Amino acid sequence: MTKPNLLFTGCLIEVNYPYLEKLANDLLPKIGLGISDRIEFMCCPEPISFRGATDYSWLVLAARNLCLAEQKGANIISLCNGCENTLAQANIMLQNDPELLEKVNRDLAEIGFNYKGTVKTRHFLQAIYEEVGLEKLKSFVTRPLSFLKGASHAGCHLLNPADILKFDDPLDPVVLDELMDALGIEVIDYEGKTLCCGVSLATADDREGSINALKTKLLATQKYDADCLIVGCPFCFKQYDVGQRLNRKRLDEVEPTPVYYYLQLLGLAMGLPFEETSISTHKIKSQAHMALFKGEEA
Amino acid sequence: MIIASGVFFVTIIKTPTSIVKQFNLEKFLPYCLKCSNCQICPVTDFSEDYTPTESFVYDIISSEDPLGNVNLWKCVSCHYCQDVCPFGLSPHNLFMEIKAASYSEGKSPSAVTSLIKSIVTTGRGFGVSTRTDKMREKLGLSPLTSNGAKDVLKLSEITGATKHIIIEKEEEQ
Ligand code: SF4
Ligand code: SF4
Repeated sequence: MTKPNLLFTGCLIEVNYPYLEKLANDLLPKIGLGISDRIEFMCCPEPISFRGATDYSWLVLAARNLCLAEQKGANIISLCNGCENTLAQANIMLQNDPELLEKVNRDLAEIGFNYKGTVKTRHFLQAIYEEVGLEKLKSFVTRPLSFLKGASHAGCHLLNPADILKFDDPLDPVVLDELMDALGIEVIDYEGKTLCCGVSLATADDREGSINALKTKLLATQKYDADCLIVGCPFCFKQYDVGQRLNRKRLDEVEPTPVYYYLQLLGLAMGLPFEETSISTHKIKSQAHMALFKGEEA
Repeated sequence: MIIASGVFFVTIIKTPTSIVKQFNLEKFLPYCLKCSNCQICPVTDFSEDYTPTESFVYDIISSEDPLGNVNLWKCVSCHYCQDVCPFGLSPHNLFMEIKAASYSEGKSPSAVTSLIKSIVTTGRGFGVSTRTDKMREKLGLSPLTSNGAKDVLKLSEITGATKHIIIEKEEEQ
């Protein structure tokens, strides 16, 4: 019997981009990835600063989330690279180290929880790639998005550490490209695919570094004539979309480049009406794309 | 100036032995010969203040105050340095250890402390506003609650995450 899946949206999506939660709820079951009723997880927690400052608490809080899924007899599908990064790493640590698991369980007992280690966590791109597969995915596409020239950005925390995330080759990632190709998108291969989005630099008070990362990426995609960036992480999305708006003055050599979260394009390719993608709420909009997204509905 | 690797050893060894001990640098010293593979680090490309002259380990450790070095917290945990190191060393893991020490000595940037405070007290990295409630309602999504926050705070307290932050207890009671 296959286990049900619970959606792990992460703080950023549930708070700021709930339309992505809605898209996941609506679309994933249509392609064969059933999603159970929402349960409330708390922060994954954040794998960079929170973990850096307080590694063991990070592990215990992650274990609490894994427990919630285990109590429902479910697996997790996550919508954010950061969440998947935390959950996958914490899960492997606990599954491979009985002593550590015991120690964590002693702390979890304080809230009446216990983790056995039975949960499987996957990022949604991984679940689509592995469980649905490219061929079946193509069979759901009724409106190929062949007018898009997309540059993929899988993002550091989905790729690394590769032996744990098991998503793709971190030095030469192709999985997201193949998933884009399945929707009919023209995939732009470009130098700079693995450049970090830089969103986390802001937490270290390095706004300049964060803007440089944004700019370097956009110049790279522009050089190869991509007309949009395609991501599977809300933090990368926020950095590229909101970041371009906030730093417009600093990005004068850069063509404004729209950014799409993969599920929005999956929806459009499956015939979902444009309004339901919330693409019109993005900070960086391409009128040409929006006309095509709508036009093909008729 | 050309610095021979021998000098590099000497310089590292000149750093306070407590630091070498504290972070188990003995395991790095025989290997980490500035091969610079870990210059793949994205932060070296983007951050103007973060331009390692030698290896990451060297630059952080040899600075006046390793725990207070602002560059430390710029490590975005992308793990690329770990992927490419021919000796299987992980500057990332070392940075994590130094970050923990930096945090416990109150030397982390204020944004880090605020993030930790937000997570341990509300269960989330971001505050929920009426804008969130309205957006979710319009989409037909259930409202967010903070039902798990109490447990998150309790676990954070017993595992030490709250040791270095001040939590105002709710006034009403
Ligand atoms: S790649 Fe490894 S050996 Fe080379 S400088 Fe970096 S940490 Fe040292
Ligand atoms: S994990 Fe940190 S030190 Fe290593 S490459 Fe990434 S940002 Fe640089």
